[in-house]
Amino acid sequence: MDYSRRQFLNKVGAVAGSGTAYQISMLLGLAPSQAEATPRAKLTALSGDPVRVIILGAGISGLVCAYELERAGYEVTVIEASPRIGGRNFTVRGGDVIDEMGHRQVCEFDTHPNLYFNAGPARIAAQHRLLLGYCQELEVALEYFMDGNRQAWAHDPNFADGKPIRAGEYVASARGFMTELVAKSIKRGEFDKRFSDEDAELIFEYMRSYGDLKPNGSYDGSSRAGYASGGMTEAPTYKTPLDFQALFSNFFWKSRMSDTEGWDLCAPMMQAVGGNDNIVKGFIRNIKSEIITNAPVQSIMQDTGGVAVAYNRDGTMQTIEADYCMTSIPAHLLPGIKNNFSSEYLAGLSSLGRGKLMKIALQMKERFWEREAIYGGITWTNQTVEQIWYPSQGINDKKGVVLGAYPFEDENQMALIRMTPQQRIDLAMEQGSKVHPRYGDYVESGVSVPWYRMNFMMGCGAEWSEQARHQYFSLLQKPDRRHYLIGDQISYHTSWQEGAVSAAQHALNHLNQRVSAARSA
Amino acid sequence: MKTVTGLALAVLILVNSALADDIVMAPQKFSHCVTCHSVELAGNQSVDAPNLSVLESWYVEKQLIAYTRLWRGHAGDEHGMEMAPMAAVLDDAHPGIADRRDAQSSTRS
Repeated sequence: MDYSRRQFLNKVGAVAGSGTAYQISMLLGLAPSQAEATPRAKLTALSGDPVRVIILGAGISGLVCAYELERAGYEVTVIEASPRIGGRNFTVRGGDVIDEMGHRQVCEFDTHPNLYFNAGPARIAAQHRLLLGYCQELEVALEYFMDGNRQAWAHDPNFADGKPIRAGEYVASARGFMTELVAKSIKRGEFDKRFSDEDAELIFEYMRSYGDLKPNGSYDGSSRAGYASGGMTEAPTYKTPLDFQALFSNFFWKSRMSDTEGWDLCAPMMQAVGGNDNIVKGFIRNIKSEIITNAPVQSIMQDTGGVAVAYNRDGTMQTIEADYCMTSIPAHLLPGIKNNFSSEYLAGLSSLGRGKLMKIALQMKERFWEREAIYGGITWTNQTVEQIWYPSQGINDKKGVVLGAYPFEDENQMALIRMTPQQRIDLAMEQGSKVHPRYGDYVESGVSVPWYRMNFMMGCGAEWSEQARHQYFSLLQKPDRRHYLIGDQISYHTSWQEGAVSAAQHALNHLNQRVSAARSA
Repeated sequence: MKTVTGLALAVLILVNSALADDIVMAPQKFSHCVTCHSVELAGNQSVDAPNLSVLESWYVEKQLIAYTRLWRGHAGDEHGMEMAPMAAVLDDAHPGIADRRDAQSSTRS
């Protein structure tokens, strides 16, 4: 029997359900695969002469390296420029210092287990296999993180007189419009030349299902958009579908409507209970090696025999020597540290741009969003602040910490970065009030963390141009003699902890093979 | 004023030390500067931070004062806008700058 692949899948799907069809389609190579996880490094246990490794930067990548290396018998020292361990894994609570260059802030949130915000990585995807593995091993409790929320708002000041609409209503209308268009084309026979009657019928039914169309293929509204009235003890009435011209002039589809389709942003996502820095604390609990804080590195010099690192501790120069060095210091700051890297390696480091991600967090005296039927998730607004995140933790608590800004557009990021902390909070309150009435009245205190200006970092996840990726990624992924670059910066998944953990595994695997080869020679 | 001059002199001393083989740490008062301007204040193009070690003392002094008054670092001066808040933080570490700014403010009022 000469089955086409689609016919074959129809048969399998009909007999065994779509799950089976999906699994078989994976075997046939038809379904898209997700990002391949880097395997966890399996280091050969060392015996005999010690191998010393200096790790520069106590962020997630450095902590993973320290944890793995010391368990395999390496002698490890971690050097961290700032007073805080964790890098961009930074959970901000009342009393915490935000070490922004020129704008030092102290967080004034109340002391309460749910009143915090994750200034760096906030969400963990189910496909972040390595990080989730460490969370399990280090006994870091996790909970769900609400990301996409159809009850949250899609807001465009230029749309519907600036009145926010539910993301679900927008999505239902957008899908209804699109699928009706296709369904009517099928009914008019415009697909005849391309599909058999049977195929056209299947596509028609798919459109009906996807867009919640009437049997005749028209979209007249859907419960997916929420009811205009009724639905419990009164008969429900549908909302009028949004006008298509207004629908497509709205920013929402252009930017973030499809965000949660991504493999790294789809439900379920997770966070550490009590703050993501509990992952950092999990590593600290399980690392015996010394982690020296308040120690900005001054030089990294290597020769055939080893690496010497000089750092500033309380105004005094200290020097430490080792066999190898692993560095998560941001690539854009490394050229400012005395070094003897190859000129090509330095050119590669200099090719990376500084990420501009920044967040503003506001302690709200009431959880007003829950009165609007929003429990966690993200509102998107076509304003400078771009996003408003509602906390996943502490449902029905009295207070909550809302993320009042998290822009992705370059110009919005720079606009906020250049402001003073107070100006940022004022703007976040003003723009939030366009979405939630009296938003500013609920704000008790606020902080901002612009990674572009945070001391010892001066940037968020590295920005790779296509040209830099092509020219320098594989070069920087290899060591410069005894020096390994680590951190999310040397991954394809920057600004995510999984990128940092994966880059660590890559360096660890390379070092393990190198040391093993030297030992067996 | 005296502090600013001292700061600038220290910059000049570092010029010589940069030529030496061994690294010489910048004095503690430069702790705010070295992250961007490099540990020997020789600049770092990756973060658009110029070489301070070759600048004359009078020039460094004038620029820091200009930043604290936003003669530099106003809207449209992109790199200056990054530097201006750094100069503001020197209020604590470098009272000379603050003194001058305060004197200027009181003249205006």
